[in-house]
Amino acid sequence: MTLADDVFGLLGVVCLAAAVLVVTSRHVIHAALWLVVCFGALAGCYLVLTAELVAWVQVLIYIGAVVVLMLFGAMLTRAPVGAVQELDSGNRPVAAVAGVATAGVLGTLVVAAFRGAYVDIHHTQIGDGKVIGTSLFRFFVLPFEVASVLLLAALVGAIVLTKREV
Amino acid sequence: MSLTQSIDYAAISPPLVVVVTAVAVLLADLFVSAEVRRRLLAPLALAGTLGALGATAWLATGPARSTFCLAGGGCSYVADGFATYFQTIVLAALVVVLLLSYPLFDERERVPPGQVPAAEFLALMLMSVSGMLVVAAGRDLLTLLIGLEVVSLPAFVLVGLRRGDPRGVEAALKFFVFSVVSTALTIYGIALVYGTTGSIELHHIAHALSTRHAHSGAMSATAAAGVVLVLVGFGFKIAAVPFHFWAPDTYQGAPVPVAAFLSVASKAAGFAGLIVLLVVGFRPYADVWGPAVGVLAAVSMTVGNLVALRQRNVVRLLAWSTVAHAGYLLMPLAVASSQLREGVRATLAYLGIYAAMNLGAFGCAVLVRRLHPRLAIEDLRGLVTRAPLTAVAFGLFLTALAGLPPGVAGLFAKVVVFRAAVHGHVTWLAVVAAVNTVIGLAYYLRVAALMFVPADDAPVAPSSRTWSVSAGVAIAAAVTVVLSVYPQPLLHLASTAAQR
Amino acid sequence: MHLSLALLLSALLFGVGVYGVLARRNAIALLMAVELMLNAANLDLVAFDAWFKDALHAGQVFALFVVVVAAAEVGVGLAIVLAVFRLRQTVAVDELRQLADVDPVLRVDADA
Repeated sequence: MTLADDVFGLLGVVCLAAAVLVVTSRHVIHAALWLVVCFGALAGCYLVLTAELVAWVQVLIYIGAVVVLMLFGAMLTRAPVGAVQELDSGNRPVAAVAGVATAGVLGTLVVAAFRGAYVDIHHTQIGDGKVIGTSLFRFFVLPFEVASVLLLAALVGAIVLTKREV
Repeated sequence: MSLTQSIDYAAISPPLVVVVTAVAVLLADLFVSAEVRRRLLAPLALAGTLGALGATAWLATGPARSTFCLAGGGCSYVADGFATYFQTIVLAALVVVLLLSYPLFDERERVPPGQVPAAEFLALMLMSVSGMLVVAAGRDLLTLLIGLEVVSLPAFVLVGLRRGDPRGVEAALKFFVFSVVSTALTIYGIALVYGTTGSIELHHIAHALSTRHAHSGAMSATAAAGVVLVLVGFGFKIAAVPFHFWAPDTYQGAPVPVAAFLSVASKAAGFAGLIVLLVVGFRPYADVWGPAVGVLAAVSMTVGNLVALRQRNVVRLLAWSTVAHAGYLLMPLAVASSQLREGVRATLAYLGIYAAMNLGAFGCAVLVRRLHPRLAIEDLRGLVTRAPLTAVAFGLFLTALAGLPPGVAGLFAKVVVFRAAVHGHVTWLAVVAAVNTVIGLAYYLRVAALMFVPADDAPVAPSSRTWSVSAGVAIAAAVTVVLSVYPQPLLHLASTAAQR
Repeated sequence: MHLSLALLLSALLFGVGVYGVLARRNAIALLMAVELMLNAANLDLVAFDAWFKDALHAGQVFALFVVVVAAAEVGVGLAIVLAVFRLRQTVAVDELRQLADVDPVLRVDADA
């Protein structure tokens, strides 16, 4: 076990615990805040894995935009501030079985397939803005262009659905 | 090495023209008054679509063009016969859908309940189509994924765009929820495929799958799990059972032209991506996905047809029928490794005929909706005396979907997929499909017969607002009739498209 | 560090997301569970990228695109949720039953 393993393991435990709270919390607002913790810990994981740009984008977009949007959504739909039972449907046992089975099967598969695989984080190219940007514009121009259409569609769609001039 | 990839603008001209048209529609909307909006924007969108169709036809006559290529070989975008075949179907479908949609737009400044804002509707539809055009030509997982998102995201909005319609937004929410969950599964599958093959480019993936993991059981099991998860996302897009739950509710709640759009154009894009993945990327795992596709096909056609039997709403009936047709479309792909090329050809040919007859059927539903807003099947009784032309056209499309004369095109389509299945040694599937064709006859013919029951209603004069819908239905009917008497050109095109 | 550590975390996170998607009926809470699934995939992509020392950095670039897709989805999704709430006063997905097979399907909607 190296320092990287320890740090990653610690962040992973935090992330996983927060994720469990996200899907079990009875307050929408609390769930959103646990989501921040989970995403923050994941950003740390990305840093350990030398993906610098992805980590910062994670913080900026996920924590800064997505979670804030969700909080707005929760407030605009008048989320009850207290605890509510209504957040969950009746099929929690089925969901739990499905979740555990998915995690179990996938976890067993990947651990068996990549047993002993070692990420040499000291000799990888750090994925900073320059490296990833170069790769993006050298090899992935088409998806980048198409993503601009995606964002335009999201912009137009969100505005047209919510404007109140009925 | 230059910093950016070189771009062959001719190769990407179809999606480019469509996106530019979408932006032009949005911009034009800012500068024109409400009265001329409808008369300007819809023709503008139609002109852009026809332009893109022309570009596609020109590309189809030339050699295959590749662009956005990686240094180590492999291109993100390939405009070959396969891509142009799908692009032609999607763009032609868009022409008809635009004609069907015209009565949804309103001249007034404030969009009244039940209508849609014209500029946003047209722009979103064009953007969705640009995604489909990219999916048809995309040859790596990233391009395919982003393309599929561009298809879906505007479609959510289109479904819920009718003003003040609680059923529209309900349909949009259901569509959205199923779609994002399936996208998440697909992305996880892509991550596993990337991890086991080291690439997101389809040829590299095929190479890695065929060579590297012959010895490691866990590794190939992980890759197989990834392949299956990726296919789930496409199963959703084509509304195959068990990923079909969204389709009936979404089609029923959406404006009928949007349902037509989803059932033809969106499904075609899903099949384009699915075939590319199966035939190019996951070819070495044909023994994994072949039987799976066969089971999906059998279950889709059986469930779709059985549930369609007890429908009482025209659009829901057509929705379940599209689920069943997803099964027929999947059937030839189940032949997997043996005779796969013939299977692909059969699916392509079926898709072309399906597009014409299904668009026509939904177009007739638009026409019927002007007379009977509930769209209950019972309302169709005696339609022939109230709207004779609509009844005749609807009858043609329903018999074609059933695979009976006078809609012989549907029969040709069925024969092609049956032959592919039998040649590919999946005879059990052909038997299931034969039984299903008989079940299908029951509900298609019940509806068709109901329309021709004599009634003593007076004929209803067609509304002046529906001339464009009639034109759309007429195009679909003309194509269906032409394919009924002379299907060879389509079959030939499908053969060329499958030769890759 | 060990690759399987990251992959195991990703698989567990994905499982938690699957549970959330199936158990939640509030549309916004459901969306959060979907985000967990997307993040699980991203962790895989980044970990594999680092393991391969991928010259193209395809995994990290893919992860960035997934973030873009997620942001676009959340934007449109919340717009739809708000539209539903305005017309129906609920964000519980299983209370939306105007469109269903059990429905007699002969209801005339307001705009018809």
